[in-house]
Amino acid sequence: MRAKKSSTNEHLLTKKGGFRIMGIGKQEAIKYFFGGNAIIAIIVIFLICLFLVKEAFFFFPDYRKNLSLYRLSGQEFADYPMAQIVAQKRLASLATEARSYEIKYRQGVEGDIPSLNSAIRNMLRNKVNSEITELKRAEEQVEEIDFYPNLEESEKQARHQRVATAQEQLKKAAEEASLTINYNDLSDKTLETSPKYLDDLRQAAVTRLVTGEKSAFIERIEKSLAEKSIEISKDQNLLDLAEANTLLREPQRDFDQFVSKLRKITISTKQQAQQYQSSSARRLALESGAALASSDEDKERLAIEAKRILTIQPDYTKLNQPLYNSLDKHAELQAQLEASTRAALEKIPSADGFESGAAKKRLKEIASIKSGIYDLFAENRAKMEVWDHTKAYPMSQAVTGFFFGTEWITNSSWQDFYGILPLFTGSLGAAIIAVVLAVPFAVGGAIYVNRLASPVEQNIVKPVIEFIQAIPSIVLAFFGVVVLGQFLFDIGQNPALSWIPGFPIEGRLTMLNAGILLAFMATPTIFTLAEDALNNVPKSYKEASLALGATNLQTVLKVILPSCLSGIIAAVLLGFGRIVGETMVVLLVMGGRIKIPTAFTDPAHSMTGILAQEIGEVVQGSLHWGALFMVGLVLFIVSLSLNFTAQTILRRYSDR
Amino acid sequence: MVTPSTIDKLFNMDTLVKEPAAKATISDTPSTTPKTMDQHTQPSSAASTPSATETKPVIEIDNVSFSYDNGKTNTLRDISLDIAPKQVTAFIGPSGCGKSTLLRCLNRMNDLVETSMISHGEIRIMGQDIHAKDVSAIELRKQVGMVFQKYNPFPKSIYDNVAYGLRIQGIKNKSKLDEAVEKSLRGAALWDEVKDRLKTSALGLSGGQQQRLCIARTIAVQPKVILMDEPCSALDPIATAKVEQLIMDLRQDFTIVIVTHSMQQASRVSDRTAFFYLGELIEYDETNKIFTNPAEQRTEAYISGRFG
Repeated sequence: MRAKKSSTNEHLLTKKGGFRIMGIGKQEAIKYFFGGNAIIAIIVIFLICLFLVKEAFFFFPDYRKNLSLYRLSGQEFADYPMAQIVAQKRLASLATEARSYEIKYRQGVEGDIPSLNSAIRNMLRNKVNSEITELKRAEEQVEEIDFYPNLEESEKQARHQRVATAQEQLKKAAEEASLTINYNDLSDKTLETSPKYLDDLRQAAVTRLVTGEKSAFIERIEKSLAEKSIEISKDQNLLDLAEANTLLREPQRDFDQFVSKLRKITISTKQQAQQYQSSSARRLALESGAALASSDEDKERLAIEAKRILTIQPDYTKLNQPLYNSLDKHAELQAQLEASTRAALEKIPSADGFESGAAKKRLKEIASIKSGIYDLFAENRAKMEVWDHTKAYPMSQAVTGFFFGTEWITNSSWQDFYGILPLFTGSLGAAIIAVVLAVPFAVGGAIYVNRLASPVEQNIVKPVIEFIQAIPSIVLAFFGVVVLGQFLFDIGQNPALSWIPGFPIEGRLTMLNAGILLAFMATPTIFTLAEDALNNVPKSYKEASLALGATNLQTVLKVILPSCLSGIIAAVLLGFGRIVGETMVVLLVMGGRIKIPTAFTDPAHSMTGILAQEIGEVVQGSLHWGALFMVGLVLFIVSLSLNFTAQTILRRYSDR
Repeated sequence: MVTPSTIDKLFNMDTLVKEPAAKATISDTPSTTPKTMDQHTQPSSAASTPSATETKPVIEIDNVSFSYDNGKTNTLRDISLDIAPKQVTAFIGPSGCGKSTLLRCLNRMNDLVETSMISHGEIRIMGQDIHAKDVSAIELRKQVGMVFQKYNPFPKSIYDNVAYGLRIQGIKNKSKLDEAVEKSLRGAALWDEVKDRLKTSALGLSGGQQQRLCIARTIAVQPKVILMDEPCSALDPIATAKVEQLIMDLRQDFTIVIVTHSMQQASRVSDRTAFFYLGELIEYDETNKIFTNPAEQRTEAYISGRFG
């Protein structure tokens, strides 16, 4: 007994089982496998955070250095008058646009006929291309007759005959082809069309192509348009607008010249500064190389090389002197600018006298800028007066410049700015539109499916909604670009909707368009999670409520919904997180305009979109690279905090 | 926890309330019992005489068969019994005998099970067939309240729980609600314990308090009948005693039907007891008689604990 025990070294209570590698049994192996996977997941998440932070870490010091140079070289100074003239020019262009929209509107459908005519003619020409070539060839042969005097008479006639046939054929083909042309084929969709003129336009195109003459129809329209525009131009509002426009443009040339002179000076200063920076960096590298070199020979060689590099620090005080000197000239120009702007703004009529929605929108925008523009002038002037190139650029300003900067300008020959605000507001705007649209549908759908629908309906609705998740976002984006954009644009032109801020919609690619698609994408997430939350409500609540004589609807609204509200809020937050991180739709559908949107129908750009668009082309380790990683970090933090909040809400309220 | 006074009361109640003709006994052979004929004729004649309202049964169950699966198999078979007003009627029987099912038929809670149906017979409450076309389950449930096995207050404040039934009926008047809440909580013997924290969550109360709150919630809508589905099965003995005391107090104002697994409880609180077995009503009589001298062998066997 004793001998046996010691030989197998086995007690009744020792572990059994044959399969063992390095003392690890089957059960343990499985346990370690899953545990290992979980740990790897955690480590990967940690590494991602670390990577993001590491790459973004140097952004702020670098950005500060970059902005210091911007100040030192005087570019900052030159940007102040620039801002003044840009604001003033915005007024001028708004006035111009308002005028042309109004004129076009008053001309009515006929106003676009000349453009339509040429567009249709071009289309027709493309369709009968082979016939035109044929005719040209025949005509060339007729022309050649003069070069061959001894050509036979019959041949001459045959050539003339061929021209006649080609003409005949062209006419026939053109007439046939013209019937296939429709307004739908127009590449410029902004042109106003009326079915009543389609036949005339076709005919006009054929006439022009075959005979080379304008048709009577076109001549009639052109004449009536000319008459109309004389009449329109007599309108007092439009006259006022035109006059205001001239007043606005008057001082622009002098001011522009002034600004561009300043800019030239500062650019050259900047180039010198950059040269100094790079050469001194090179010198520093050589010097440190010399210090580290192993042999004396190398040391000497490197030291000499280092000395050979010229590093003369530019005299910034001297270089920036012209800027300080320009203050008087600027005061004079600004006074001019302000006076003419004031005169022009008094001339600008109120929006009430205008008929076109687009014109009204622009005039309202002018009215909203109006009060602020003098402040803007004064503010920038004050900044110029106190500007000092020797003042150090503070770190805090670099940080706020990123988080609250309203400009994202990259690869500029002037100065790059990395302000996240336009991207952040774009992302947030589209996500908010999406959530506002998705929540009623998704939560309502979840309530319906979970509480009110029959099993048959449940079996249809649930898989269909969950199927949305399977649609690739690029496909949705494509739909947004091609179908939804046009649809919204058409609806947005309806004058009955012009009371909504942001209408009429002026493009196909807008935040609204993206928001609708994102809502579509968020719906399954919110729906599924909200339905889970509803499912978790104890059945006894429903029974208790019904037993008190409540209807099904009362039960849902007053008992079920309040008791799973936390779950639904968490579902909405997770849906929100899902769409904040969505890239493809916002990149393709939102229009890519980097500017803080002022209405929900504006085009905008997004944090995810800018990353997708720019990360591929940027120099690794550059300032731009760092800026993109900062954007990524912000995005990460936003998503993380949304998720964290959702989880916290769920955890806090789920264990009631 | 039966005090002598409650026993007194119990007997007094028995003598005070005149019973309708004892009809329900064993009904193994459906539709052949002559008693069912009585049932059909009696209520209509009783309704015409105002003096008969006192003794007229509140609930009349008439040859009811019930099925959970569209009539393929009957869970309840041919049940007939009448429940008198302002009495406590106990349903006892082993698990799966259909007593809870019958209870849930009385306020049509079984409507929630889509495939359920009354395959035969009818249930009348205050003379009205509750499955008639123009009867609304909502209105029925306002008259026939229910207290469940597991206390289930809503995750709302104590006040909101009690006021819920009134609010869904559209009562918004604050003073009216306050009054009703206080009255109901007093009625459920809970007022003194919770009057200082009406706005706190109902889920912070103890189990017994929560169950009494559920009773308060039920009586707030002033039903005629209160159905109780094993109301004490999730409670400890002290809480059980309180709830039982409450049931006996509530008898003055409400007709109570209680399903219980505890034979002691049935004997303590009820005036009449019905014993069910395998979906059939075996015996229905005064509690006293059922527990001392049952007519049926199976009843006796169950009561004495030989099976069940």
